[in-house]
Amino acid sequence: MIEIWEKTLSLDTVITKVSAPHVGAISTFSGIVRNHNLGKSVRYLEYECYAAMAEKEMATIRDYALQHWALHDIAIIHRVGRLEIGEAAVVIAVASAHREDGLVALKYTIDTLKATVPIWKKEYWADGSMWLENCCG
Amino acid sequence: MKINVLVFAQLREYFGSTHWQADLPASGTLNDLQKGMITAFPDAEAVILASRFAVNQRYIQGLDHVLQAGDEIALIPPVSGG
Repeated sequence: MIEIWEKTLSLDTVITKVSAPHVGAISTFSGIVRNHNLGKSVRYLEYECYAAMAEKEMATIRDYALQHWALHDIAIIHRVGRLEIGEAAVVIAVASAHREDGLVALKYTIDTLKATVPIWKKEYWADGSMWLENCCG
Repeated sequence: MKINVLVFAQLREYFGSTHWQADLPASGTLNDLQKGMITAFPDAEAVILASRFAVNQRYIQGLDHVLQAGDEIALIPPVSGG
């Protein structure tokens, strides 16, 4: 499952999607909007994406992970639009028989998503706003 | 050939649009496209130079890639998903 939503994300959705009887570990990540960045107080974020390519890039990440680690499945949902403090911008669930590969693949998935997927966030403060750039990996 | 480029994030603000159209010679390259964009939007030069091109939803390394009519081209500013 690779999806882009315009509404509140559900970690339960991705967990359910990757669950199976032989799965012994489900490793999850939630990327949350926090109230501060670079010393400034954040009011909210707005996310925008190149949807078709973003889905392709996330699928590429999933494919790589499934080939390189012993996994059952990976599900990713990213949100776009306006996000308030405390809301999740991305949820990821990685299912594996054993936890070692699942946890390693989870880190790979979020790290690579942040480096390559064509999604952008604009941060809004009381006195202005700025498009952010993820630190080059 | 007529080329349409999808732009995103701060590029949309600089360009005042979600896309930009250019007229390139038949064997025009991404380099030609980039130069045309900088000429049209000199204030956006730094962002344009920091951005990556995607052709048909795949990142392209290097600017000497030759474009074809009907290609879906996008200019991808530094990303910030997640």
